[in-house]
Amino acid sequence: MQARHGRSAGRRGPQPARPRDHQRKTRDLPTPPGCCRQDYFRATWAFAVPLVASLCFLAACGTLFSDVRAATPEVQATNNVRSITMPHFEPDLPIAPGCDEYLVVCVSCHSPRYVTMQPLFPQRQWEETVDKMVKVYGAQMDPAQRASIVQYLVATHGPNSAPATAGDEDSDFTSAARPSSRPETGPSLSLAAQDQGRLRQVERGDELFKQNCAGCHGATGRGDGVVAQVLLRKPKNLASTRFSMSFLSQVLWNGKRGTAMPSWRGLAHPDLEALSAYVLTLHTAVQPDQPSKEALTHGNQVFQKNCAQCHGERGDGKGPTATTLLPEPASFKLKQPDFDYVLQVVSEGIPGTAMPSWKNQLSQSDLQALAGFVRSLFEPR
Amino acid sequence: MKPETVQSLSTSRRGFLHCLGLAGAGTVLAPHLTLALAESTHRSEQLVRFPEKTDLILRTDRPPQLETPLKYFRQDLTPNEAFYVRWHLEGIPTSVDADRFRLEIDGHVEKPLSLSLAELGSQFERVSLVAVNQCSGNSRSFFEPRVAGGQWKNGAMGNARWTGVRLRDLLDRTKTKAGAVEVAFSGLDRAAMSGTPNFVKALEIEHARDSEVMVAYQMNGTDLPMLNGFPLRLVVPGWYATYWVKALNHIQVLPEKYHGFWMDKAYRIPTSPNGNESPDHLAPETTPINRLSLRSLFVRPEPGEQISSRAPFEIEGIAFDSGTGIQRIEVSTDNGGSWKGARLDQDLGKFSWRRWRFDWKPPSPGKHQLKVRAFNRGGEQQTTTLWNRAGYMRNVIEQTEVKVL
Repeated sequence: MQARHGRSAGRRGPQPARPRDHQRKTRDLPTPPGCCRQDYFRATWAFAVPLVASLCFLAACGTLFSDVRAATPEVQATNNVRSITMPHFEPDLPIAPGCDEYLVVCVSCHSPRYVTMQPLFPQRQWEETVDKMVKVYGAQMDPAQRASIVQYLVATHGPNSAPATAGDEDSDFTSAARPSSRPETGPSLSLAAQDQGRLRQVERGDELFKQNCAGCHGATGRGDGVVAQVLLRKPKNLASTRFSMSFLSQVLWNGKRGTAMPSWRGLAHPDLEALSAYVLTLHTAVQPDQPSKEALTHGNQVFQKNCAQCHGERGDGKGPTATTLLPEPASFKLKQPDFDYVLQVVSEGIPGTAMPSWKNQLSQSDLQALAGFVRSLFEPR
Repeated sequence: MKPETVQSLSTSRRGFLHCLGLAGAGTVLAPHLTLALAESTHRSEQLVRFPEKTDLILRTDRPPQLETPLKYFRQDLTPNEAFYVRWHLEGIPTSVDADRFRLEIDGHVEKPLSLSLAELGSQFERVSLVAVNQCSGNSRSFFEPRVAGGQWKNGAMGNARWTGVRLRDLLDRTKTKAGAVEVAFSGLDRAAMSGTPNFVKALEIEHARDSEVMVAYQMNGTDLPMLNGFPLRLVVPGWYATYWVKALNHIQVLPEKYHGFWMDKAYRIPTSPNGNESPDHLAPETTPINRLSLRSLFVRPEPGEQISSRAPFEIEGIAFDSGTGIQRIEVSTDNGGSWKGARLDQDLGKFSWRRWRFDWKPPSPGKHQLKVRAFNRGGEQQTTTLWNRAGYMRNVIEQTEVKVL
């Protein structure tokens, strides 16, 4: 066997650290003029190491860790990170009963294409497949959701499946309308009134979060879990927004159609409450003062002109075009994004959703007024 | 499947279901009709481009399953950018810091190791071999009855020159303790759900130390593409690709047999000969999938290719097994009525595939049925039927139809 292995004793080993053509795709730093790349990075390290150390110290002192982390030059200090960005080719899904359940249970772990590529199977085989997803891979669903999903799979990939109404399977991207049924209201969840009870809830929620949510949302809920990078619609940064309990309840119960956020109704109610209690602790930002009446009026004008078509006149996410969109437009009655987060989203849009970038349409003063107005719509419950 | 299904689906606007319906229904009809139908659906396949990859056939996008188009098998070494892609868990590595990456080797050893890529390259002898990497479920879509899983045609495989270090050398450096039984391997990929088992594969210690299993840092002379396992991939020559763990970063020596989902429940084959069973009588016992089955495939003519009757045509294909070696290839141009030997190209190593060629002067215009079968030095040959519940190890005698003008 060994004789078959080619030898090249005189050659160096692998040069995995060698910058190569793939570097064009990596997070490259521009090379300063008159500075060779290697020297540049060496120099960067020279100041990066003490800087990292001092930043870590600051973080340990309890300063804003998120901001510190964003500024940490550790990623920039290496010249050898190889990165790719995954494309998405999601199929248009046929509309049939159970589509909603399928969308909020199955696509967290795999593209809907995993089903559309399968042959036509009888009901028994689809039941076995769905049960395997639960038992073997830890998919979350209750018996009613299981039944709906099987129904959907049989209708669209069963032996007698009729041609779907949704359109062309070959289209690259899911942009079409979905059934406009409103998601069910979640269970009435409540937080413990007493400090000690709340603390226990938060501790339990922390545990549940690490088990169930951190894969996408990240260990600290900032939307940076290991899976986040391959998702088109990124997991929510849970530190960026204040949520109402009714919002958390509804999302945990129904999942979020059109995203990888699954339904968690397989969890017991006390666990859903604990998760909610924990998620609420992730949002800690201090908010700016309530905007002036004039600013709110200005913001309202901007909102009605540009946003109400999707988000609704009252910001409840029920604008005239909302039923054609997936994921659905946000309701600002149910959640209150941080001021800076609104600015960021309005400026940059949200990839993979209908939310566009407005930075070329709105002035700075419009943006500021809009952010204040959007935040004023929140109805904590 | 009832014939009327063909009717209802053929009028469907949905190309993909159309394709599946026809392929499924056609198999109850005459075999040549199946081929014709499969051929007619060929166009509906979507080519997509992923990072560092050329246009590949889309099976699914997350986690990615991308198939190599047949035309690339005209080359002895499959280009990296055309090499098929298959991951199990959604959280595939999309960013690797090559300076900070470490390969951890621990468990039942005296001296655990944590090796950087630079150390791996400079401290161990560099070895290289050509080997076929084939997915266990390659050609699954041709099974009848159809089975669930990645619906591959023949392109979930490739042949490449792998360069790296012997696993044995790494294990020697750790001073493996007496009583080691198996070695487990895992990579950087992670699941979304905590309930999903991590992807871990295991080999018996004797196999791991056979000097053939290697940890590769290069594929065809350059870094591995991210989607093929950059920066390191386990290479298990002659074994199905499920063992070739991608983005390999942990090797654990175990004093007992490894138990985990991906060995105990998934990737298992019937213990019966050739992994064969029937839907009505599933084999009572299964075992982890292992060595590549002997198989031979057509590369040219491609399905649906039209050739001229006025000139000789060189039929071309590839054949491989798990390392015993191809002894001879026989081709039939009359639907199995008679068989003649094909020429073999040079041997690129016992784990490489072997190209074969067969000069054919088409006797008349019209459709002709071509078949190919391989014999290896161990006296094995291919069979005409195979089925198992997971759609693994398909290696039946291949048939293709060519239209002579």
